[in-house]
Amino acid sequence: MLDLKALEKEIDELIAKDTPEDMLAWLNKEKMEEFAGFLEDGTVERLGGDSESSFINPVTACKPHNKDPFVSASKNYDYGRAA
Amino acid sequence: MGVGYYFWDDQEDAIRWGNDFKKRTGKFDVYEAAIDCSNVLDTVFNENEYRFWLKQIERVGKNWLVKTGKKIDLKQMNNYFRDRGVWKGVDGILFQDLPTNQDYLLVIGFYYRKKLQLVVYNNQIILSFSHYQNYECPQ
Repeated sequence: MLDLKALEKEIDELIAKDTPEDMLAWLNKEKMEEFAGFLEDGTVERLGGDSESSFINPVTACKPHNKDPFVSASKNYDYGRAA
Repeated sequence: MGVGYYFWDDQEDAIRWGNDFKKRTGKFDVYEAAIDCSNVLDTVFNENEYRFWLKQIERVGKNWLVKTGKKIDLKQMNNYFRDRGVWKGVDGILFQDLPTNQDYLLVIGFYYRKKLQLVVYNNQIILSFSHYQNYECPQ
């Protein structure tokens, strides 16, 4: 049997403890990790070697999957081609 | 609902899911499991736990909105809980979504049938797991 009061207390503490800066830093890290996952699974690819500043191939990035942040880019790209 | 082991409550939903999402291979297997739900949050049949869950999700969502001006999505919320070590004692969550395919319903536009899923975060509560049957997707 779950102790709902204890679970609620955990949420109380989370809300009280996290500052906006903590939260935004966490969100930024989360998005970077998700993007790294896209690179890893081939959803997007780098051009020009392994440098951190390598350009992300926008065509490849636009092609597959309904994953953020490329959904809108994909639509624009397809529209541009059709036009 | 984040990283976990997902189970359909109803065999019918497992088969439909297989038929819809395993078209490329054309076949799939269904397994059955016995799961200890004593530390599972039941947001479907337990009114108290559903109202509790709703309140907590809205509190966290509102906290994000007020403090940062941003809404987070479902995956982010689950990962946020995980990274902050919140609700580690919850072994799983029983939840529902609504069927959107009219073909599976007998009354047009009336989504009366719940699709129940259990996400298990702690695999120790899976007491048994065995092959049930293999299926081929209809052509």
